[in-house]
Amino acid sequence: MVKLHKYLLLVFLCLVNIPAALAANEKVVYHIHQTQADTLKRAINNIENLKKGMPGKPMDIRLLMQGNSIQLLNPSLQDKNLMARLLKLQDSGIHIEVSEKNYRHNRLQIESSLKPLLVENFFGRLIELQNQGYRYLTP
Amino acid sequence: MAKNTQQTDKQLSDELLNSFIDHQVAPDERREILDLIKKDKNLSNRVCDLQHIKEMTKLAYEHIPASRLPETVILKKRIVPRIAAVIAIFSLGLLLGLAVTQLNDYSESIASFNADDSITKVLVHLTSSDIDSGLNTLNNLQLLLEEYESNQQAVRVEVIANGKGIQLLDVGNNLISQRIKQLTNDYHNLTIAACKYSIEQLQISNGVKVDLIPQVRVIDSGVVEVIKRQNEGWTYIRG
Repeated sequence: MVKLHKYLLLVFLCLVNIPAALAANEKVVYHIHQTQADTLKRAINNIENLKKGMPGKPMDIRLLMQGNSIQLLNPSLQDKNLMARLLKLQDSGIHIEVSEKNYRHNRLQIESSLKPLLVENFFGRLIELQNQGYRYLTP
Repeated sequence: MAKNTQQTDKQLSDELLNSFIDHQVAPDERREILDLIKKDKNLSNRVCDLQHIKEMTKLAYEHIPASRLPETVILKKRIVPRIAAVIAIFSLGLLLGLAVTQLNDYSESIASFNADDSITKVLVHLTSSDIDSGLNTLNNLQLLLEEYESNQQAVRVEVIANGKGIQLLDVGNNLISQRIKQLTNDYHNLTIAACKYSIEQLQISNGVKVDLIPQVRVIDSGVVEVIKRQNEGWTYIRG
């Protein structure tokens, strides 16, 4: 009877640990809706700290920039170092998503190396991601 | 044993004689008993009988067969079957865990698919007095409401303003008030609320008196409402 309990405990541990380990993708939607000068810096700091705080953990981070906040992606308005950090985040797998309408209005001013995904319905996209289990963060 | 050479056969116990036979008596005692055996025929016969019994007993128990316990009691150490059982149970647990993970992913996709059938509830939280930002939020709200209407999906949107966001809802902001009037007319599933404490705070701290748009209802506490809605499962968006 004692041995049966040990086997059951082993099965229980497998059941608990395997799904937790397999479902380890941390999903975050980071929403920028402000256009203050330090907004992008705060956002980049937050995202870098998020990755630093969970080393080795696979993450799916989406940076959604609403409305005029897309102007923050203008390199002439930002520190070179900050844009470099943003590009590094993009290269590491962070997805930048912007409203299609706002992108068309600001396309020429946006850093050319950035490849944002265009979203037709911005709030709809935010809802969709949260429904998919993405945690919602703002600066 | 008392050193009494007068001891006779009747006084020597079987126990003593067995000790003698087993060479378990002291040398002096042994010599005495040997002398007595020489003199006493009965004693001699008794010693022979006891010696005989001892030999017969020894012979009878010389080859003791191994005990045969029932098979259910015998604990045979079978390591290989135990290891096989552990691997089988572990594999079963792994398969079950994988199945649970896939079931979770499946149910998530089902939930998002079934979202079409249930009402979507969205809370938009206004905390900034920036007019451009406010207008952009209202534009995005309109897009959202239009899409849900065209897809014939149910959605309920509540806008809650607190802090500096209250200032957006002043009748003096023509652009904002016009948009709100138009949206609340077109969409009855859109409501807008303002935090009473923030209104009072603005007046007391900043000397700003906010004259609210008529379409806005006043609630006691904006943050309490935000928390309440999130607890009720509303999707939260900062505007």
